[in-house]
Amino acid sequence: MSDLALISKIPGVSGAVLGDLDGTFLEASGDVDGEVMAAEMGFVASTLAGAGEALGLGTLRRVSAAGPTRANVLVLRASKVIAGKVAPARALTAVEKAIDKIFQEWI
Amino acid sequence: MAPPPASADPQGTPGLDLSRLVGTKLGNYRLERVIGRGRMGVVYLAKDEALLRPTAIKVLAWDAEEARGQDPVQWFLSEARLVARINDPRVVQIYGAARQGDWCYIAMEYVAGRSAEALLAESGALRPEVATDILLQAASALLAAHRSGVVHRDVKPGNLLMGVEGITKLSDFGMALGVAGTLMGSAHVRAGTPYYTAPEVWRGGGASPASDIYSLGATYFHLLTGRPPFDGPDLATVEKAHLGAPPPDPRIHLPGLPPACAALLQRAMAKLPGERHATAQELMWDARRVLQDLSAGGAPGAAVDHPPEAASAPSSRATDAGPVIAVPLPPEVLAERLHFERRPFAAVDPISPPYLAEPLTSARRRVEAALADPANAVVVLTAPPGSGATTLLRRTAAEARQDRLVLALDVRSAHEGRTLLQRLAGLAGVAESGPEATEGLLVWLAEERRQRRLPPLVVLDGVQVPHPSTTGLFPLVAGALATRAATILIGGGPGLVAALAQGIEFRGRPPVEVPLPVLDHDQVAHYVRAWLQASRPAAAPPIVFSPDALLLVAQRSAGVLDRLNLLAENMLVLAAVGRQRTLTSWHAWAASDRERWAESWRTAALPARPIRWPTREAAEVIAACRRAAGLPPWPAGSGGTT
Repeated sequence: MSDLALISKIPGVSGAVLGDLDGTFLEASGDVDGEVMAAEMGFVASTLAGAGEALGLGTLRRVSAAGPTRANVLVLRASKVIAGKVAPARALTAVEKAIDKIFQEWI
Repeated sequence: MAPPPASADPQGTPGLDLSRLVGTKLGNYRLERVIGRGRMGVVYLAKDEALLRPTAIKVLAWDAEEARGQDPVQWFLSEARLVARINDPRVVQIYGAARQGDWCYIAMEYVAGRSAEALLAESGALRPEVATDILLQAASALLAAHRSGVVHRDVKPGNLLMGVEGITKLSDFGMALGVAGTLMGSAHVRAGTPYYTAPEVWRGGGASPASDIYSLGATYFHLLTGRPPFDGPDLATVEKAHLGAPPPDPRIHLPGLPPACAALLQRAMAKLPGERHATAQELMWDARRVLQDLSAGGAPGAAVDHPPEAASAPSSRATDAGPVIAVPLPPEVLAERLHFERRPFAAVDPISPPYLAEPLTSARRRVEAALADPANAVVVLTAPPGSGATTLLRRTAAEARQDRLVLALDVRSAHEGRTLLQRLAGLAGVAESGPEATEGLLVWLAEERRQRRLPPLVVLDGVQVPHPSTTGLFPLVAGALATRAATILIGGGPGLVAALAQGIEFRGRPPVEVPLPVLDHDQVAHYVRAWLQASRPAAAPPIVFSPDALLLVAQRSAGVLDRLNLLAENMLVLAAVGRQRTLTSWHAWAASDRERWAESWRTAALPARPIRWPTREAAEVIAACRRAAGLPPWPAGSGGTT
């Protein structure tokens, strides 16, 4: 199963997009505007990747961002970015745990 | 109308309509149509039936009471004699004066063209180069008049006639005065036109060459700005301003004018005659300097196609030249919704921004290298229209001015029919027509080279061959090749070098061609990001262009900067109206490449994004763009939602 499929099956993830750090839209699943989400997540991931290094976090693996009603979670894997749209936002914690579990399997 | 009966004695014209003489024959002249009216009479276009040439006939308005027993023909003859003294190509020549019955008339050179007053009425303010060129020519005419002992006394836009080849002629010496002090026709005339009248004349003092210079300065201000220097609801207000108010600074209306332009006006319109240019010759020198500044530096409002530097202030900035250059403000919709502080992808002053995108940067290095090699007399920058060549040429001209003389012309710009050679000769102050024009220009350039120990740089932008505007180009280039008097940098379209070779014998010294390519996809992306960075504060929420949006806008613009500017701005307007910050392939697909939406977005029928995107047609184009960029295809079945 692909990374995108794994993340999109997590309960609370209403849609997911596979892109790259340039924001190129590569694949989508569920209820998302793939091109918009890939572009935005590519921008965020490429911006924060440097911040992760600056903060001494090492290679950034996961980024979560939550607003009042919805949240997004990003997984950085090599030059690829997988972005999940989380709704409602309160499901974010569970989604993060599920992603970390998948990550452990990858590692 | 039949000609009036001849009469031996002067008679008045009360009750006679001077404008109804079409068909009348006065002397050898058949009046054909009215071409002008003034307080001194009506001017007709007439045919000289003896010499078969068009002639202007001014029929005098006069009456016996005003004449007070004088013969009105004598007034006209006085004007004719004064003008005959001058005998200058920039002064409308008078062929003669006569009376036939009730009609007194003067026969003059007919100038096919318009007065500067008519041009102002039609177009408003003139382009600074055009206004300054008119000033230069009018000053030349005044110089000839003053040297002949004639004061014009009524210099104003209406008395500057611009012929079909852009030659400006000074007309209407009807109020002229011999400097010896004999006022010709004093019973008939009064002081000059209020908007342009010198303070000492308002005070009742005598007119002089200095008052003509003041009037010409006031006329120049009007040509530059579209308004007289001093205006008001009544004559008293205008008079008061001429007597006491400081000369206005035209940079209030045209912030980008060079300081030399404002300085010229300050001096020409000084309240005290002794503080003005001592002669029209001095005024010409100043005017030529302004013209050279304008031509080398680019006029305000000139189009530009590169982003400004990111670090400059948003509202205004000072240039090395001194004046504060206004930065174009963003359209309201982009300011309010996307936080733009300056207009993105817009025309700004082409000289100041240090930023040049590739491929302009590389081309500029090649041009500089070619110009630095003394073996190169001619360098040709070739580029498709709208590719940024004008920006590059202007930057090169402005920077070269630091160590050598630069004459720069945009050959495309309308210049009242004046050819390239005439305009260059005007800048140099040498004869503008005939075979001696090229020779005179080359001699002048060679002298400049000798004095400055560097060849002058002649920059000619927008050259098309063959084209009437480039009359004189071939002999000039050939002369430069032969004499090495100057280096010539020519900008034009692809194929220009071959076109030049049709008319010029290069003899083993072909021009160096620097082709300026259009932007590739990566350069488009860099260019777009540079503009976004330069036009918005660093803390503003980001605006994101998707890679597909950049691919598509690069494809639609074909890498041509003018088209890219329009498309990218319209994409931003479309996004702002939809309150979006992420620009996608749809924005790039839907943006107009014809209409500028920034001003019309409230009323224009802006496209709406379809429910399924991309459409089949768009998907094919996007797929082709992705293939060309080495990207995987757009994911199958991954349509977006609105």
